[in-house]
Amino acid sequence: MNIVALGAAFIWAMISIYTILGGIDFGSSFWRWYFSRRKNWEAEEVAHSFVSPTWELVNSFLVLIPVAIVGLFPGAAYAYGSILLIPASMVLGLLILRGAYWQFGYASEQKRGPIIWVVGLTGLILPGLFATILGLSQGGYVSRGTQGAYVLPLAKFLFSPQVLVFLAFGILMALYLSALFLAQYAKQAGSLETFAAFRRSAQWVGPLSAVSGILAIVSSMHGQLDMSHRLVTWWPILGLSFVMFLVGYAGLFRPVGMTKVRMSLWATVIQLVLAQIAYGCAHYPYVLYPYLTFSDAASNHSMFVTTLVIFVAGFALLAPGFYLFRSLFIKDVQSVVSQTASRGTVTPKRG
Amino acid sequence: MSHVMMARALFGITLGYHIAYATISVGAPMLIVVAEILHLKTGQEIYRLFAKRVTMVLVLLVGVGLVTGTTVAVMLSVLWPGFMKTVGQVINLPFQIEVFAFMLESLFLAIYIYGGQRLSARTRIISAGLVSVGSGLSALLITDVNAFMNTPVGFQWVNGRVTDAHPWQAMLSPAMPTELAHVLVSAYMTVGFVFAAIAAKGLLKRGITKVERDYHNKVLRLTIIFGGVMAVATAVIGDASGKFLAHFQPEKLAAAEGLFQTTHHAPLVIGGVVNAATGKVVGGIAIPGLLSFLATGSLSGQVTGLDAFPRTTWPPLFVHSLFDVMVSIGSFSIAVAGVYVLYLWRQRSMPRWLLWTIVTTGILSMGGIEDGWVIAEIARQPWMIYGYLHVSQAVTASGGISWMFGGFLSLYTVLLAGTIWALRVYFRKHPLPTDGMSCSTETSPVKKRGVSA
Repeated sequence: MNIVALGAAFIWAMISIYTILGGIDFGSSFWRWYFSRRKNWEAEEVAHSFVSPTWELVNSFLVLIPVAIVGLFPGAAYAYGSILLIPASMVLGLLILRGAYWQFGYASEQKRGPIIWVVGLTGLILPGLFATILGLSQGGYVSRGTQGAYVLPLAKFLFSPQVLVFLAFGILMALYLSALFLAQYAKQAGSLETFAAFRRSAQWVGPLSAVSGILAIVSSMHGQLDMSHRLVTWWPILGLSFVMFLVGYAGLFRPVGMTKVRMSLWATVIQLVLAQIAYGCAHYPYVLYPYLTFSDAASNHSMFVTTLVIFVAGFALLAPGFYLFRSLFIKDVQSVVSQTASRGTVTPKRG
Repeated sequence: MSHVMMARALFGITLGYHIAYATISVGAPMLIVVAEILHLKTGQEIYRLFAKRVTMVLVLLVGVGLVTGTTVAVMLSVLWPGFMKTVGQVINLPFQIEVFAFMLESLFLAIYIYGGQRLSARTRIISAGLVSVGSGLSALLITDVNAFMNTPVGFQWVNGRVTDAHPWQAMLSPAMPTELAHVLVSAYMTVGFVFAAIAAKGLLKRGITKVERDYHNKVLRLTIIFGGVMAVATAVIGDASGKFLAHFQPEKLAAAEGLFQTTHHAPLVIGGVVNAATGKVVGGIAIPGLLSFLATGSLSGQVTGLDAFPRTTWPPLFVHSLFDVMVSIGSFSIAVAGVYVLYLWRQRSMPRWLLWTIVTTGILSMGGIEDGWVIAEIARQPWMIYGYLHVSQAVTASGGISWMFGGFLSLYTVLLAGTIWALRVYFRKHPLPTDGMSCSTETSPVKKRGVSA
């Protein structure tokens, strides 16, 4: 494997990690909104207590991605930077609203209603918007104007049926993953009723996410990278991914007391990682089809190597901190949920 | 407005907004560390209470600062793709390390808050210390990219392309030591004066209890001494920056000081309006030889004037006035801290005019930070990377920036109003305990759970 492929794999791994962390984070804030509408306060509380300490860390993973792309593949940063001015600004606007409203929620309980729906709605849309970039990268939307500048006709992009499929896929995938995660989370905190509520949500979102995912990879536009054919080469990985989906989903239908939701969650994470590996391999070597390949976009050798070294060293140095954070925060969750439970699950009032 | 101006305006308001949040996120953890150490040393609950109240402010602002910081990161790529293409070849390391510094900050902020009273005093100090290290490093690393833009090194520029890049060398640019130190200590200074202003405002309230007076007095003493010491450090480093500019970016210094002719015995002109047409500063007090002394260390030293550069590369000359404002705010803050210490030393009670002056200084010092960054950026014009890349060469080709400007301006306005609303509501609901310093906020479950990062 040459070093450019290693760098591309690294970027793709970061995106995969963010897909999972971000999916859980964004989806949880939607579920919080959903269960507050249905007045299931304990479920709302479980979703809330997950997003609280983690969203800032998850967001810093999001920042790592453009930073890593600039360091490893500045050509790609230039190409995407040129065309994404307006879409990226829309995403930023939503992210800003979400983060700020979340913080404002600490100050007062009175304005909880608007805070929950702003955070929930933005959390619902954002993963979908991120997923549309995959459609964009497959080509067919971007053209090159005079002097080689990249141009993206925005209306063509935003209203294309394929982009809408990617949008739906991003949203549904985040909802499924976060419902599984929260089910497992509620179970860990010993709250079976809430666990059952999240399990029910996962049961109906699961198939929708799978169907939209399949539609997204088979959909194709004129002048695009022919993903469905390129993916055939990688059928064993893709097939295994589908099996993992079935394993995870089937696991949700055992009786409540016996459901091994942790197994379902991990099967789904593996499903996603495998699907992303297959997709990434089929997409390689193009960053932006047909104009840009990873080796065209790569930085000079010394910057490339140093960037990889810094990322590895950074994660290694912070690993003990992440571990400490995780152990503190799991403990905290158990106390939070039992506190809520002891004060009665039907009253909307929280301490 | 032209396309480039519009892009600069959009990026300018984004940075201006972010800098206010970032400055407090850099300084507040340091205040928390100082307060926690004083709590450990003196055993006085007042300091622990102060640390908790600063933490609440920090939690609110870090969250908003995080999303505006994300905006800055993404906008760099979408507004200035030409810049990031170059940056990606040479000076991307600070950006990368910064993300990890931020992770360090938010990890330990969560640990500090979640741990709360469960942690020992020593662990709390270490956690808060690591938050402070993380936020300080973040600021230093981002400023390091700015230092590179001022004095780019570590690469060869061949036909508009980067070759022979040395990323580590680029991080250690000549502007780095002075610029980084100046940014860090001025952030500490500002946060000191901002919290001093809040304490002074508390003392000005009519009919406060003895407990409240005691709390505000102690906080005021802590913050204003902290701010004053940092203000002196800011001035000392600012002086070093002047000498640095004279050597590395002479037209920046010449524009800031309104110096047109290269000369020995250059005078320092304070105040006045620079007139580019006549090449003179109208009004203003000239102190003979002082600029030469400040820039070179000798009254007869030669200082390069604007005449040494083609007119097309002159920065806008109104930076002279902005520069005077910045220096005045710094000097004024030192004077205010000095007067306060004098009163403290003579054990007089603080007169109301002094308290009002301290309130004003808090607002002014934040203005000074914004002003300083405006100078740093405007006085580098027309360059983005000094000597290599013009701002106009780096801007995006996409249109529609004026719409985005309107959108982001309204968004920031909403956020600013929201931040003020949230801080006011929170502190109205959590007034100072009136029954001694028993830290009664600790028992409230909202405080324990609601606060998180």
